[in-house]
Amino acid sequence: MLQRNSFDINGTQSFSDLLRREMDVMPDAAIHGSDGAVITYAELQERSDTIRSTLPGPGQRAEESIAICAAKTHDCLAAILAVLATGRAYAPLDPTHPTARLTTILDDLHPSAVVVDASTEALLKPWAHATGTPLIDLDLIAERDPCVATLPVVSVQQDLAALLHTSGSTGKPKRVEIEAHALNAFQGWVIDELSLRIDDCVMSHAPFAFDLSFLDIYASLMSGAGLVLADSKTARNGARLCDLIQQAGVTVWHSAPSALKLLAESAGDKVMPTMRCVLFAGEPMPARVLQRLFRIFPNARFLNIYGCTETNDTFFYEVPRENTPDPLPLGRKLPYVAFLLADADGAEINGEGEGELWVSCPTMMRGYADPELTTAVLAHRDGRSYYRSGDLVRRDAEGVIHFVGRVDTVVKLSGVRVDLNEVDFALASHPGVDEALSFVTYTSDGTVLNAWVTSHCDELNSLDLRLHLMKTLPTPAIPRNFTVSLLPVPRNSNGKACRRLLAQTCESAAK
Amino acid sequence: MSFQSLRSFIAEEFALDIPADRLTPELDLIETGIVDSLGVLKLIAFLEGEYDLTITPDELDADLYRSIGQIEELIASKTAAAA
Repeated sequence: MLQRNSFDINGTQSFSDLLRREMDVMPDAAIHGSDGAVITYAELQERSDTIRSTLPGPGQRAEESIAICAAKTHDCLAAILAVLATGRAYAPLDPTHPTARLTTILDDLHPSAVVVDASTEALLKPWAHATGTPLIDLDLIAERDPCVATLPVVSVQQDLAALLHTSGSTGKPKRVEIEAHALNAFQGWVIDELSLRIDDCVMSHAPFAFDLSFLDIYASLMSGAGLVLADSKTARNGARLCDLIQQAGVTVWHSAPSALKLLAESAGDKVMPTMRCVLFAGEPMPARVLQRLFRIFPNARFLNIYGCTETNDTFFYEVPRENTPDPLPLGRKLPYVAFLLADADGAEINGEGEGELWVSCPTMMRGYADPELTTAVLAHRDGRSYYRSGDLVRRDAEGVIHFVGRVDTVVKLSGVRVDLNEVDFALASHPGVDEALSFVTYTSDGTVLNAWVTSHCDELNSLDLRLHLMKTLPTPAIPRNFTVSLLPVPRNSNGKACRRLLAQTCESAAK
Repeated sequence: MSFQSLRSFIAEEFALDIPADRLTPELDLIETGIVDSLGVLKLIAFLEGEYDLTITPDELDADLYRSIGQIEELIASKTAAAA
């Protein structure tokens, strides 16, 4: 059990105190924005204080949160620090997601305020007005004078530090509650494993709404390393990413494999010798991309990292440049992890074998906001709480763990977790759809999302379906291929709608 | 310049069942998921072959290919610059 209400690391009272103290050691460390602008840790703190002075005072509720829905800029990072410094949890929302999805999350969250920028302010204003929630516009604060008055520092951080949202099986995303202790345990491992230092510079590629950003933000700020913030536009532009690596002297890269693929395609003959660590997580890395990356980054070690929003990182594999396995294993557990492999009845599998991966670690979430969901994913064994990952894995004779598949309907698309049930649900809510089933196929380019749609509506085409899905789903959850048919969804011998049958038909047709 | 081949390519490659009149110049191809990141690379390979253009690494940016109208403008400006 984690300690509650008692964050005490080397005499600090809160995670925010600890961050501030570590950042004060390196006031001149640089944080690069996508636009090329650079500010120091000291300037970031100053901006954070100014933002904090505009946030509402503490309210009556036990655990408050402030949502942040803004482009990934210096000010957005400062806002995260500001929220933590008020003792509250921050809930980062991806500004590229459909507005209906954002407001569904906000309705459930009841934040004390929402930090926005000029573009998201316009989107969220009707919701804020209807619910009476204050909007704090970063673009307006930026025009103000920096805050000179010393603000009182909240001495006790509430347990919760961050609230992330991930695809649920219905239209409603699941809220994952992450405590300050978990973030602190995680950054400690990162700094140790990578030997992160003041002369490092970390590329933060993922949006702040993803758990990948915890490594980028907290391990960097705690170690005095430089940081590059790639916003959503830059993150999609391989050439711009190459420029940023060279301009800022990036030494540590961290992203989903799809971003490295983009980079490999844009790098041409470039060689980037400053890179010493390339970390990737979230989906399988294609072997041919890896070979190109070895050439682009001749001095880097490559780590395939495994984890999920609920537990943060739990396994990693140091990728050898010679005799590189394909696919890459998940590797071995992190030092802070305990795990077991369980069969379908929950019995532990020892030695070599295949089973569902259960993990227990100090970086684990406290739970989902919905306690029923939490109960469904936690298992208790020998006094420990294990998170049942839903990933089917194999342990080989050397004790190395390999990914086999999922025990449920969750897939990773461009590093984003998508529950196929959520896609089905969104498709079925179109008035012209009788029945729908989404399924994935695996090609040399990666995982592809497809959908079978049964409809008796003559006019219905894939564009109608896309325009409908766009209202509630993020882009990676929109299928690449649609089959609109009069025929019902294929079923297996038990009469159950069968994704595998569809995938097999689709894959054999492609051959 | 005729952009008919561009429209045919997009229709055939990405949007087989979508009626031609629904593929408007303003339709956001990226946000609708009609063209994904891999699709952008296919589209670029097509543009280079069909319109005899060179797309620079800087232009490998999905934001430049969001709609048919935008792609047509890009082709026109690059062709004009080369002439």
